[in-house]
Amino acid sequence: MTSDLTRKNIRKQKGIYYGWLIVATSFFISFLTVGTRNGFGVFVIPMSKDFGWDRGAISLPASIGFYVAGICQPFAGRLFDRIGGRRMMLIGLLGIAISTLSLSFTFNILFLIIMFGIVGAIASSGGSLNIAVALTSKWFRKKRSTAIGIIAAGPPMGAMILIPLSQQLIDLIGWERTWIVLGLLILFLAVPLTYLIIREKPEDLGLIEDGQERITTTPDSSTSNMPLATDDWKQALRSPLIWQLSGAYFVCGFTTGIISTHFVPYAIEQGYTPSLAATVFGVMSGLNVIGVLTAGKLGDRFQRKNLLAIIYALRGVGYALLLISPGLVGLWGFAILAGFSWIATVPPTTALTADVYGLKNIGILSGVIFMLHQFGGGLSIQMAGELRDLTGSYDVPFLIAAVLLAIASVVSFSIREKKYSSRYLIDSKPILQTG
Amino acid sequence: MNRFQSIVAHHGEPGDPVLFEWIKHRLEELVGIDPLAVIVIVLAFILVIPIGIVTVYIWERHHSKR
Repeated sequence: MTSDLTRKNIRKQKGIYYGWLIVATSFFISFLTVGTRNGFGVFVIPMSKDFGWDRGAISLPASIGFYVAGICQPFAGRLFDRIGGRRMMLIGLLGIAISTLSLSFTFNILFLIIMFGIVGAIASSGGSLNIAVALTSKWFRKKRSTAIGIIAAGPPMGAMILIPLSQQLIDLIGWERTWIVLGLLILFLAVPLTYLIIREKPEDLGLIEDGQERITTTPDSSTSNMPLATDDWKQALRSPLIWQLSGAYFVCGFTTGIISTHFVPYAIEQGYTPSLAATVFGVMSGLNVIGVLTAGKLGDRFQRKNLLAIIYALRGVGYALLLISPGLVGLWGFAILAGFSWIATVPPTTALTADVYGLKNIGILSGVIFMLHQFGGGLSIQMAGELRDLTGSYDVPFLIAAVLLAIASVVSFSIREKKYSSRYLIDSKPILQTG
Repeated sequence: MNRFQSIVAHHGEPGDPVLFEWIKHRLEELVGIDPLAVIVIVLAFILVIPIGIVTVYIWERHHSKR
């Protein structure tokens, strides 16, 4: 006889699996929060004008925020592993909403640094992409990469939609009220939605990953076959595989940091108009979404490490194209390859981390990996600028990027996924529980 | 900008205002409608996502109870 719980589950399988509601909500959270914070650039001119700040001064809150958010990731991840994603997200979102609202009262640069660069950045670790994908990893196994890919499409879509929105709002109602509108959107849309929808794990609703029917042994709860799955996150840090993933992700941050900051100045230096440079950059940004969704889908079909190796290799070819063929062909070729690969590393990297190390410490391990990504970005932005000033061109930083990407591709390819990943170690055939 | 700031700030702009300005003008050219209408449309788009999620949630809950 089928148990009551199992009958209830089977009935639930007829509809949409609850995990997809988690994905949709996480997408919306990252769309709104990252879009809001990344839109800081449009506030630069109006706030500078009102307070008489120079650009260096107003850049400081954003730069500090970049590093603070990076440093906070492992701590946020650890907290996620202890108190759960729902509470983390709610606290984080409330913090982001309050800090965003408070920015309307900005009266000096120190206030902006504290509220945007420190409070907002710490809070954003709670509602970060890292936390969202860690939580989602608990809801999916077979479609983990696809689910993460959808969530990772949130930030670029948020930037595409919220940055122009912020710009229009500033023109219409001023920067003070624009901060209020953005804060209220988070407070009245993201917070209640998270409270209503987000649940910790499928077992809380009597379900298992991917919305499969209940089975006698839950694959991810049984990690005995996974050689690197451990209860102690420090032990995981002693295994080479986490450093293979982290090292490659550092290169990812390093090489995307150069694109985000130096691509437009590079194109203009090459003699192209700012309008063309911006068009190429716009196309590249748009391709982010297609790239990450495609990578997410492919990550569930093929070995994730192979996909990662291909993504890094493609970006490396992009940089090589800029060096070998500095004309329009190189520019557009780079835009297409870099655009597709920009965020495409997120699904295979995060999914592979969960596959190999299990879900118990997924928060902190993803946090460590993400922190290195941020450091890579911060380092490269500074380094590329310095080298450009020193040598008079971007050739040296681009060459370094291409070489590092080639190394990251080889390192990713050398990951022994079949030996360590739960995808290949645990029989996933569901066995119906018959009570 | 002093040396410390240039290292921490690592570049002149946290986002490229010229690029954002260009995006705005491009958007106005493409859409060709009043900025207020653009704001309303974009806000409506943002609202549709949570409304859609909650609708599916309520629908699924209702059907799983039957």
